[in-house]
Amino acid sequence: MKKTFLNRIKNIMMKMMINCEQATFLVDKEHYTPLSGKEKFDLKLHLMTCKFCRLYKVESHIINDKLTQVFKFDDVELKLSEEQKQKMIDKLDLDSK
Amino acid sequence: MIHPNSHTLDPEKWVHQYGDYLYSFAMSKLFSQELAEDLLQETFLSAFQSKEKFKGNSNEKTWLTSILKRKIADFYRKKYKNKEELSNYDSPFIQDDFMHGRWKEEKAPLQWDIGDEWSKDESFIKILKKCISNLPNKWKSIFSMKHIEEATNSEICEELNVSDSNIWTVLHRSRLQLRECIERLLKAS
Repeated sequence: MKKTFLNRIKNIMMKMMINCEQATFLVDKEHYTPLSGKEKFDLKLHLMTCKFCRLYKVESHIINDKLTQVFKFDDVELKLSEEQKQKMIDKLDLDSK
Repeated sequence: MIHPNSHTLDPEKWVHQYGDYLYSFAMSKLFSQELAEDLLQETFLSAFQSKEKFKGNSNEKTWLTSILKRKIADFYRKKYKNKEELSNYDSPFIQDDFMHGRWKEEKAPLQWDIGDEWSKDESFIKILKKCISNLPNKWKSIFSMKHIEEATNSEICEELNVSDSNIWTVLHRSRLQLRECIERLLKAS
């Protein structure tokens, strides 16, 4: 009797909780925009019970950190060869005449 | 090479003076040498053709960069509109009713063996760049617009004619795929 009751509670909990797909969605969304109160709560609850999604969150932050670095352009890192430059100039000469 | 100063056309000066800068800029957004060169060439040509429109409000470098930026945005837009490529998405989550939305066992995240020095690690950046270039083009369009121009969703909705929820889905799937790709390449390295 007690066991079925606990099982029912567990079932209800499971239905209320978001799944990994939804949780990782929120983890990613949070990089771009603040989450609503409910979203935050749902996510927190899920992360408490799911080690894979906790790991996903850690890795997602590592990626995000590096993404900013990849897309942020600081300064000249690469150089065109003289040959490439000459090719461009030649083409420009042709196209502009 | 002979470029007598008296004869120097502006575009030549641009190529020599700003070529490396613009090329680096393009590479940081496009992740492809060939593409970067093509768009750079187009940029110089457009600039040359609209030389009269350059009013000197900004300096040449800023002006050229803004043209290049537009070319890159156009490129991603066109890519998005190209309907041919439908990406068959292999979800890392269980799709049937029972256990719906949980990680598939073989796709669940593993601990990365990157040590504490990862943030200074160039090889991680290389892997990340490679994985971005592996994304399906349509996703890359949205992903890049979001990150390069820091475009808001409503701007992207308008430009690419997609819904707000679609954008979130694409960003999520892109990041799931990036994570998986990084994990695979980390293991291989």
